Amino acid sequence: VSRSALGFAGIHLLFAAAGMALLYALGFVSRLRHLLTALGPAYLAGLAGVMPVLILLMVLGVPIRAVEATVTATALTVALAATGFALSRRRPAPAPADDEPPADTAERWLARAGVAALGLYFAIGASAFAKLPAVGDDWAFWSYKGLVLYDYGGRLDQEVLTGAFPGPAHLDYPMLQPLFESILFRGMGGIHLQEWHIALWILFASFVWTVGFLFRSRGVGMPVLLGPLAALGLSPLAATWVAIGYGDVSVACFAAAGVLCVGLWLDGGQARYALLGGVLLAGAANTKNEGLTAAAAVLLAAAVVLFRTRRDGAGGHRWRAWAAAAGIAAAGALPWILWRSSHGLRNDDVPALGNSLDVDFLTGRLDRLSQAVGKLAAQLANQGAWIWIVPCFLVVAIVCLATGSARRQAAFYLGTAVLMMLSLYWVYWTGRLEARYWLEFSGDRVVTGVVFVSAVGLIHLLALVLSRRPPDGGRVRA
Amino acid sequence: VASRIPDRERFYFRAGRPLPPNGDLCVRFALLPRIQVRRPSQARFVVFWRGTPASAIAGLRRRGALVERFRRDYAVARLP
Repeated sequence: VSRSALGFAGIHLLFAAAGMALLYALGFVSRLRHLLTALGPAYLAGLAGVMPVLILLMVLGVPIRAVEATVTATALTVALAATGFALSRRRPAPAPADDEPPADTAERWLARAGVAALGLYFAIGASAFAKLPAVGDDWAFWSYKGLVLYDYGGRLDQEVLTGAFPGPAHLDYPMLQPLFESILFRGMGGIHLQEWHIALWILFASFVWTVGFLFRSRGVGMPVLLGPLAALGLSPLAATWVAIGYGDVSVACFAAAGVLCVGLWLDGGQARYALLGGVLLAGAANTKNEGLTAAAAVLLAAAVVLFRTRRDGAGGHRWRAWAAAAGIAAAGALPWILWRSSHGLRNDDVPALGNSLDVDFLTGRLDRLSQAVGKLAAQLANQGAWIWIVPCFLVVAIVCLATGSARRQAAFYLGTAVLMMLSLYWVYWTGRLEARYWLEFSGDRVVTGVVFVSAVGLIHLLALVLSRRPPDGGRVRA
Repeated sequence: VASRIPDRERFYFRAGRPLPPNGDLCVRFALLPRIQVRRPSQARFVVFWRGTPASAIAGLRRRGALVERFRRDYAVARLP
């Protein structure tokens, strides 16, 4: 086994260990056998939890190399495991297996076949993505920043990253993906731009695994899960964005997993779902600017649903859980926002709100809005790319709203998706780049997060509708 | 070009003809960990890319620069 392969595995296990400790502290895992079933979600949660801490340290001037990443991740693992141990003595930790619904033989075999097929697909994908070139945005900023961090001691205060010297495009973009790439290269003992795509593919696979894990933790049956999850996993554009090394799938994974956690929390879930959602949204906010707006959209939609929920009765502690999730997401996002602001780095493609919030300015560019609405809608309706995920979600969500079945959850997922779309429309409406050209090269990518949110919303709503329980009452189970 | 500039050195990039869209970014990325700078005065090396104007090369040589030309349109000058 080569040094690079060992380093690749070691760095991934480092983050998975921290994530597993987080899941243990939150009560999502409680038994040794869960170490395997929760490996995917542990990895996703580990990245979302550890990377914002590393970014905070980097913002504070600490160089982030393999040693610093290892020490930080290990310290977090130990602290979270100790917290989990202390909490587990005070309250029993529910475990996925405890909630699993009874399955008949046919369902059990369907589940095994589905999981095996998805596993095979992701394994083949990892092998196929082992030797891919760096193209487009990958070399223009994602891997560019990763290489600068790798070559120059894991420090942010490089002239290349502050704009003093010519450097990568989009200096304002968050640093989770480049920093992770540089840490991975250090672990592998050198620059492995081609193999880097495998890491992005593993992140995508871990998201699919996380969705399955979270729904199983609430007793959702595999027949409901497999169809939408397979559609998402097999969607050609998701694989394409991973293959070319862009950040759109990464941010969509964190954002959609965060949305799902908050959605499950709103659906009678314990506060631990909201807390895990906050961590995942912090990961999204640190991956791309769209992740920041997605986090805001999720929290705003959740707040509206909470505000509209009157019969809950336990408003106080629900709001405390919401505030905790919002606080975690904000604390994770702030270091990078403050650093880029203090260095005068901003997105030059979009004017400041002070300039764009002007009636004359906005009405003079309505043609741009019209183009954006048409182009982005066409992307969401591209079934060759996204395999009917969004139309199915819209149908189920609208039926739920109309019939009152799972209305709160439908409003939450639909509200989140709409807010995410509005933020995209705003960017194209007010942006400085020529609209047609801009939409042409980015329109198909920026909707990725909305599609992923639609996928988790579709599964959740289907589970609620098929469970035939009273609207908005009890727990998810189908 | 990369083989003629040591790692972590700073270079000034001088293109003889307009590059394709984002071509400057691509070259900058490919030359990492060498760092591009904005002005020749910040650089130890000058890269002539698809264009080696004789007057500029002669000027650098007069200042004591070591100029290595290669292929038809490329040169790297090591400044004194």
